[in-house]
Amino acid sequence: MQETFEISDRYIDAGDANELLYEPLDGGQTFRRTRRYEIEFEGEKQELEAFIEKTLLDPISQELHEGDDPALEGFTFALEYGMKPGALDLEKEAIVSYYKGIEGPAFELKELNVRQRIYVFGGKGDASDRFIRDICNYAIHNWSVIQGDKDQGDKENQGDKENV
Amino acid sequence: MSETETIASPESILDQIAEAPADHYRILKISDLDGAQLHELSQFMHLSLSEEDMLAVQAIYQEWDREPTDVELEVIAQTWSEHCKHRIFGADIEHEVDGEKESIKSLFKTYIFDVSHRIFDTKPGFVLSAFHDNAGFIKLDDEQAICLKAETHNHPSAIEPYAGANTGIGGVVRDILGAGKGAKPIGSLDVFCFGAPDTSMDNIKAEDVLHPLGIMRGVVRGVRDYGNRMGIPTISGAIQFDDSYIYNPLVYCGTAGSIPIKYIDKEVGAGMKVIAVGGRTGRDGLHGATFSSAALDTESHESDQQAVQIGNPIEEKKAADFVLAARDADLIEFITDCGAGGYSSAAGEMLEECGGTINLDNVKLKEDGLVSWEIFISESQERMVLAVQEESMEALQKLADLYETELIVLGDADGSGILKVTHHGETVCQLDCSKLHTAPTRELRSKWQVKTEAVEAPALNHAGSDLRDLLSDFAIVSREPIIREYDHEVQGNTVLKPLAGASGDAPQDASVLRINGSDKLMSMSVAILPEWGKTDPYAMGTACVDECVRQMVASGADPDRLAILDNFCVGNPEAEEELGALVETVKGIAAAAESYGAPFVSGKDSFYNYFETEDGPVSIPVTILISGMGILDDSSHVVGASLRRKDSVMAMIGNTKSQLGGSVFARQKGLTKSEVPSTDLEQAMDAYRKYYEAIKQGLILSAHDVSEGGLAVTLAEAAFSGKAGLEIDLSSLPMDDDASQAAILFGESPSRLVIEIAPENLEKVAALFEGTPFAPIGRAAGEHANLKVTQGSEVLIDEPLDELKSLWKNGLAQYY
Amino acid sequence: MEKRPRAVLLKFPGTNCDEETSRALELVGFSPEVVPISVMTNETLSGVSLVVLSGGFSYGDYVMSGRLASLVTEQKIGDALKKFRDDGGYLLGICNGFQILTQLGLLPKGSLVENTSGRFQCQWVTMQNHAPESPFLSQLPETFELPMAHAEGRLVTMDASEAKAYRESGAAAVTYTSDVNGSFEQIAGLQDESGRVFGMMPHPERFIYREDHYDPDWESQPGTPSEPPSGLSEEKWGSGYYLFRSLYQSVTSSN
Repeated sequence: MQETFEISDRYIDAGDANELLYEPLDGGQTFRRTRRYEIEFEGEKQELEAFIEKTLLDPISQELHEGDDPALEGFTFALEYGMKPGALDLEKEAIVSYYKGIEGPAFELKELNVRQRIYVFGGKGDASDRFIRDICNYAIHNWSVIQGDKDQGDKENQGDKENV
Repeated sequence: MSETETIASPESILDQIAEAPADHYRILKISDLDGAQLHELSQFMHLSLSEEDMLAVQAIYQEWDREPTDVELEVIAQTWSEHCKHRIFGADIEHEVDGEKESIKSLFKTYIFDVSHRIFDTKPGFVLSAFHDNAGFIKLDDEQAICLKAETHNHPSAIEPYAGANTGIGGVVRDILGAGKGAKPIGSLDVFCFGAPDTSMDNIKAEDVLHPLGIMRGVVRGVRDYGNRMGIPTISGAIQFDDSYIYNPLVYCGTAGSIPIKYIDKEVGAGMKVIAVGGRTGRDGLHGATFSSAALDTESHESDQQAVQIGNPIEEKKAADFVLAARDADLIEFITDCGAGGYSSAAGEMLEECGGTINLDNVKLKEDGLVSWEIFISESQERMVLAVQEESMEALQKLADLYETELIVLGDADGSGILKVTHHGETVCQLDCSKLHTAPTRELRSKWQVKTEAVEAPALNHAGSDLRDLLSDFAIVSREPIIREYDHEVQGNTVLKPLAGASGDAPQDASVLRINGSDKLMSMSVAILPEWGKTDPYAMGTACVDECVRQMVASGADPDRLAILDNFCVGNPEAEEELGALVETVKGIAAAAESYGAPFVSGKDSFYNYFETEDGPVSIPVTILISGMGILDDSSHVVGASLRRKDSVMAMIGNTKSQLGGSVFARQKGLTKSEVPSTDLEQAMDAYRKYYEAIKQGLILSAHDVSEGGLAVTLAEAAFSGKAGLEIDLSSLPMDDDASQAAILFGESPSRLVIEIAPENLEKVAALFEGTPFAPIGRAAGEHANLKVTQGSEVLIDEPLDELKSLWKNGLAQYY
Repeated sequence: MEKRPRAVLLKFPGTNCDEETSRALELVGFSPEVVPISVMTNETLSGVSLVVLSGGFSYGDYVMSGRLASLVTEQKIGDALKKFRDDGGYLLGICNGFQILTQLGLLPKGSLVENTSGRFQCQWVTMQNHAPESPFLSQLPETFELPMAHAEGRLVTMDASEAKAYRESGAAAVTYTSDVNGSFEQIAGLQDESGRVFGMMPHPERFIYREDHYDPDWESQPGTPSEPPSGLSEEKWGSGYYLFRSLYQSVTSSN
């Protein structure tokens, strides 16, 4: 079975997106980060959810979103990236190794994929290429771009820029 | 690496000559191949061996009357690679400088090894180990020694800066863990050379080259995330910005360690077990050693993705905890790190004399299906290899369980002199170790012509705004945003911090660490002046040694108990002029080291730092990093670089020369051909010894070296502590008769220190400096907060320090 | 010779301030022992007066700071630790140790999240002592300096009013005197109701000696000077020393 969880922070305000870039863009874009956990598992879904809440979520400072829909709204586009196969993902390693240490786990964790999302708000035009260039590195990452719900017409193009 | 296009299709040479007795290894029939075919094979297998090298390999096997296995060829390639063997530093060089010719047999032997050994002889018992171990050791006190090692990780950092930097620091930390029977890492240094952070994207003339800002951010975070997690304070560093580093950024990582003297000597003996601890072995680290011995081009950015590894600092921390506990329980006979070449280098080093068997079936793998050579040369991170007594195994396993690190038995040392590797019940490698380490000597030509000329110094119209320009220059602006990302106080021993002074944010020259269990302290500093080397590499060499030594001395170190490291980065050594610049640099550092009695105890070099752009090849200037460690006898000797009093006297030690070359000011004014100042070595060392006498008598309040930006910047930086303004009159400054005002204020002639002394001690200090260029030049002015510099009645600079400080403090903050 | 109170420093893979913290404890009179979590059992705590969670990056802190360490601790010695506290034991968490104590629920509810700067910050901070009666702070003056070094030290609560309440109740035992990382109410450290469980982000073990201060002219100004160990002069010490010394005196006088 497949399940996706996305965790966003309650207390981290949107930052100036130019901080992510080598050369500033005008247009006043801002950004927020989330983390997504794509999980393949066998067993009771509630058990998995309990594990996620206990291990990955801080109930005070974070919010948990279950399912494929983006956790945040009103964004222009979102850049999702993560470690490509073969590149060490330290967070994933830590989670998997903790899971392996649990005696008699209530579900079977078959596959875990940790992804970062950068939601970009505001700005003019499609600047996702600039963000890909300045944030991702094909030596370790793969990525995809999700067009925002602001521009429904573009949603069809989701995955256009995938390099996965 | 322009020949890479000649690589043939997959059905080429390798398949034609390979015979596979089993799935996991092959025998390669090379005896009938000609030179060109051998070279083709080397390229196909990414061995980075030249045709000449391959012919030498063929000759060895002809002598043995057999064909090599792929494992053996990989092992030989690893051991003979520039990265492991430093073959350019061992080459025969026909050198020509300004028309005069000379022959040099091994730069290393002539200028590093022999020079250092002559110094060792004058200081018996001071250097306890040099050149043969993972790091060089000097004596701290009767019980303990300290060591230092620095390395570069340039090519990986160009491709993936974060990963490149964190595996860089991980690697050098393992060097320290593998020095002696395991030294404790106690402090790190990081020195970077990047393109300017504001480089326009349009000025990057090649595809897939990362912007300097991306490189800088990635590298800094890589150092941060590895060093901080390991719990090693990053206390020392430098950053150079220059367009020539856009394509080939340089990333130097260094770490110092401490060790009880009784654990320095190590030896492998027959009957010992060879074990490994730490991370598992995977395909993630293949061909790093040969990769870093070749030049970069856009294609390497695309194709060498396999070379990109990400460090796992917690894995290394666990291994480090294990190693130090095992050492203290006296369970280690020999230890070395798994760096370039992986198990093949580590086991090779360990078994080269003794010989022994390594069984690859015992290696724990990250993934299935690795063939023999992959396991043996994989450079997967965070692994240490040890030789131990069989009866220690139980205790070692206990420690491994305690610190949650994995321990495997790799094999046995047997006294046969033969390195044997078995896998799936078959022998896949059997080499006479003494043959492994004999690579053919290279023959090279080099040439250097002086590039400077007499350039008239510009008249100063407004020295105050010149000073502002300098304090805003990337070469000089505060590194605070970066320094604060590094934990520089973990371990609780950082007495003199990289940011200090009354307001906690003023710059320091050297940093000083307490050493657990000793009342002596260690000073650490770095010097790097690539701008000088562009026109006068010899002067760069002497000045770098001088600056490194001077900074340690300024912080309170005994000038007669220092040791230094030489780390070179060079473009294309086959280009006569680039090699010529290297030769001149080496001569410069050797002359200064010998004169100062500051021996080299370790060093490394990195070649092929050039890049094929759309506009042709771009090489870095020959870049030497001199880093050093020194000993302070007492914590009362520690002296910082910041102004401390409102009423003290400021004095200058050292002579100010007329040459402006190499200075930031000259670069800003476009005077790039200007003559570079030389270093008066004997006079300098005499002054440092006198200064140390003043330190011992407690007469020095603070001292700041005059370096980038010259005297005016030095004064401003000292006053950034915020304690007081400065009133300086340069009328009696010791200087060349023809020194211009520009040279006085902004020239960077070496060997100078600005010191702060209590008024009542001035006479005593002046008496100590009898016969040395020395003069009081002004006073701390508690009544105002300006930097005021006059020459007689002429006011040269009168600027509010808070404005100057804000320029200096914010210059980098907008980029990092 | 007096019998030294025993202190256990719990060590996780990635804990890296245990050695200097142990040194500081030894100096003020404790008999410290660093115990890796792999061999930690309920019995380890018997006869122990103080449990310390030192700084570092337990399990790398990749998931969130202190989370995996708190889960493993809970699993291995959770009940014993609570019993230890209930029986009068002292618990100190520094930096990562504070994060772990918070995750374990042994301190007033709160979470330590990324600094507002988004950076790791290694710098000295001035702190205000709101709990002069605390066993950890009794010998420290009203304000004092310590070095901090963390990326996730911003204390947040579910609702801002909770943090305010901590200020009023004294649970916020120490605060920063300026906004260094975005902590609600500038809270730097918390204590529980008993006062025997205390955690904070800055590192007292890095300011044991006067010479550790960045300013060579810094003058030691302790609140209520304690008896320095014989033969050592008072001026030698930094603020961190007085924290550990307070603790030692509390532990020895309560035993």
